[in-house]
Amino acid sequence: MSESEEKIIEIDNVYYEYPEGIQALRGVTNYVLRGEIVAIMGENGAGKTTLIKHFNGLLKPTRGRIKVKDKDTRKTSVAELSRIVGIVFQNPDHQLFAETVFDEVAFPLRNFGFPEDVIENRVKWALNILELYQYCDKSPFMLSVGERKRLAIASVLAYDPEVIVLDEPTAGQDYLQKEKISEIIKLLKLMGKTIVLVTHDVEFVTMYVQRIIVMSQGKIIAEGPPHRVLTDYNVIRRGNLLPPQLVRISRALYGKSLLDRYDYLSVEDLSREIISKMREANGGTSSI
Amino acid sequence: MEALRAFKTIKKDSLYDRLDPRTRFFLSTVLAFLAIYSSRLDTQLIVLTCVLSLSFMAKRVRVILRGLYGSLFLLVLIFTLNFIFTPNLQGAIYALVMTLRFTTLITSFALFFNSTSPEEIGIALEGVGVPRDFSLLINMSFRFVPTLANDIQIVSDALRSRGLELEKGRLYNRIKNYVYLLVPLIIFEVRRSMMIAEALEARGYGLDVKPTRLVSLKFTWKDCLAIVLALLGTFLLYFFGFL
Repeated sequence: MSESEEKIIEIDNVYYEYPEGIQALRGVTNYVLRGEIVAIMGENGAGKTTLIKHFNGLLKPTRGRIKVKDKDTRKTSVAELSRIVGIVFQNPDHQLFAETVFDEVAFPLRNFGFPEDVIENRVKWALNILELYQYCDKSPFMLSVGERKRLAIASVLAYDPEVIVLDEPTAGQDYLQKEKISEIIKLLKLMGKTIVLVTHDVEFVTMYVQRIIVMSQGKIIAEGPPHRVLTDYNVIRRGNLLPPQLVRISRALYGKSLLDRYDYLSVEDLSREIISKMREANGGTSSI
Repeated sequence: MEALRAFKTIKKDSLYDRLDPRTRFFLSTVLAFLAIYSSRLDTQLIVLTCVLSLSFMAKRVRVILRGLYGSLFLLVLIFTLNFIFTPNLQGAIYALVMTLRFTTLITSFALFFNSTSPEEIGIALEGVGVPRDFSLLINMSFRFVPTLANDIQIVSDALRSRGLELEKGRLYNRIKNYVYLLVPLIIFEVRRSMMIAEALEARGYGLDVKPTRLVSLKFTWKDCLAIVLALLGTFLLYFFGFL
């Protein structure tokens, strides 16, 4: 991390225990930089969702502290923090309630006290970006699962938070919907948003994420860029993750001494390396 | 929410948990019966002490007290409504008796549900001859109390994340805020109940065959001892004029 990079979320030795007595976080220390895309990964029950619920103050640390833009989440209201950190929950059905798609997106803006003319513009803007404007007057419950998911993102995007947290954005989505979510993430990145993804989808992560945090049993067990974290089989095993397909292929070839390393996360890099090795094997005369 | 949480089953290694669910139900029913039957303050205090001792034995004092804290509003309401009509010492004692009675009812059944899984309730009901359809109905109603509590938490988290302050503002606004909570909740629960009905049918529920059971209940000498002690305690209360 260079000095010019500003930490927008600072997590300092955070512990959290649920009222039932479950210790969900055990001394988590990390950060989220302004403008970065970071993924939080790990097994079920590792504490990922518990951690992101701390970002907008839905949960307050039992011990330790979290600062969002220098605001201590223990002393700041959820409403105030939600202006900075917008969380899109995994299941959109848990949050949709309005009669129309328009009202659904306008709901947080009204809560935050935006004037009606601004609300109208913002809602149109968010719905257009997420290709939902044609459903403006429809009931949210008439939309397909993928559209409802996009609607949940639109209702957060409309009030323009600096950090957008997406909890399991690709869970249960088909290829086309995944592609649409990827496009949204790219767009949010272009808009300069900080994005935190909670996901199990290693293939998705390798394409869009700059940094990965792996959690297990309430602790961070690894963090770093995808090519380092997702090629470390020790971390992958402890985090109950499946290595990306390219890593599995390159590791198999590495095992047979056909490659010198196995941290390939792009098809282009791996195919280039394989071609080069084949050329070498043919004494540089291959027509490949 | 806290009141609902007290009804969530958590397995613990305690003497109380090792009792047969029918015995646990019997103990809770006896305590609830004593609380309803008696109108004396001292009896109510004795019964409540018994419930709390049982909670201590079951290693669940914290969760039971937390559940009570969640019902605090209701307890205060019961006391106030009973007291305002007879605002004297007699009225205060009566209001206190009513409040303690409600407290005992909540705690004794919270203790039972906290230690007994819906599956055990179903087996116990079928064990005493309740038809399977009814036992399943009751079983599932209890089974989904903690799930409902969980859903309420998720929906309210989603609403709070979008700037809704559920507990702020005037009474009218607060009531309106809870309507926002109800809509997704009802839709979600209706969808879930339809999925459950389909899943049950898909797994052969409704066939005209007597189902077998993997787990069967065992009635041991500990259960006999617990029942004898409960009956003895009731008799002693009666004998010494507390009932």
